Amino acid sequence: MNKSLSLWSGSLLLAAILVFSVSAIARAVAAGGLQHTTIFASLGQADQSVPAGLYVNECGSCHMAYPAQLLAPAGWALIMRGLQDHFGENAELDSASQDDILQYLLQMSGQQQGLYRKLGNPPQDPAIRVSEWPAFKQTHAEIPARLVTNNDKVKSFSQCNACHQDAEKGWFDEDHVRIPGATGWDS
Amino acid sequence: MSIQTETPQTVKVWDPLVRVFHWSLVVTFFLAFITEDDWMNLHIQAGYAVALLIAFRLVWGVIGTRYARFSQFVKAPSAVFKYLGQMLTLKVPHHLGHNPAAAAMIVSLIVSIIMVSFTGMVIIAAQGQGPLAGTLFAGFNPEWMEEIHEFFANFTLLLVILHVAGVIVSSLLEGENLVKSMINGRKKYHSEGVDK
Repeated sequence: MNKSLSLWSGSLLLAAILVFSVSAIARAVAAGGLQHTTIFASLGQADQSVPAGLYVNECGSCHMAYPAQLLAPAGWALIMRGLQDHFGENAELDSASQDDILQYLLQMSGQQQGLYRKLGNPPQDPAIRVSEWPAFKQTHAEIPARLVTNNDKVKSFSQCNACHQDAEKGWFDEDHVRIPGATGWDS
Repeated sequence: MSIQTETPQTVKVWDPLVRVFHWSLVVTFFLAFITEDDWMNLHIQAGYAVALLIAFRLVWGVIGTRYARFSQFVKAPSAVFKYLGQMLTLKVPHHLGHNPAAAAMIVSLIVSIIMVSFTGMVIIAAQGQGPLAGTLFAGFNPEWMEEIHEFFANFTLLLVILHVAGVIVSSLLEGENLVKSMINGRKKYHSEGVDK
């Protein structure tokens, strides 16, 4: 290769890489890069709307009202159509409430650029059990059973908010985790 | 290559692109290392920067200036061990470019950083992000990938420490500040040098 041609192409390549990288890093910093932003970032403020209240009252009376953005619309449809056998329990509601809640969940699910896509759960054929989601398995693989399923204060991996205190607001950051009953230097 | 006339004689060895690459890699690698999984957006961007810089170096190692080329400095393992043995006797043949041990370090760093970059992109591919999303790599077990990613990230840090130690030892053996050479690109000219 011609000497000056290679010098020019090398310089252009490196300059392009540096411009791209510096601007990408600057954008990441500007977009809150200096705050903790894990893949499981905040889903935003708690919703004060009427259907949100219905969802939290009806569903949240038995378990945590999971942030709708965690599951693809198809998953919510699957759950809301199968309430008569909801993980072994009958959780049926009157059909008007059921419709309103499903509408709310479908609408919310699409927000935040479809955060559910980041959890590795196929949007067309989603698993509705939280503990089957790839991202869930990946991040909880090192948690021993004695801290969860054998822990009376947690009982199940589906009880996000037992350890993730702000889970209902969509905050799953690992620094906000406190496993109840866990003994250790930081518990 | 023109030789300056003032004493001590120094010559241009590391071209500007090699030096800009080197220090950019230092900054972006450490940015990625310290942000790890707590500042994921920033970590991913810093990681892309590292990967792109390595890609540049691979190209520049083929089409670049004389002492930037892999063919100029990469030597067989036997030559590396011979040179390391000579280091123990404190008498090493002078190399104007990279010595054989330094060359082995460069190759190790590049391979290790490629492993970190690749596994990093595989991990986020499983979550539908990054350039490998939607490829067969998205189906790799992200837990395993994360273990490999962390291993090579830490291994790269170990290599960096050994690299700095090697630079200090070589600087003492050669009587020349080699960190300064990576800043201004110049090294002392030795008429008995093996690769002048």
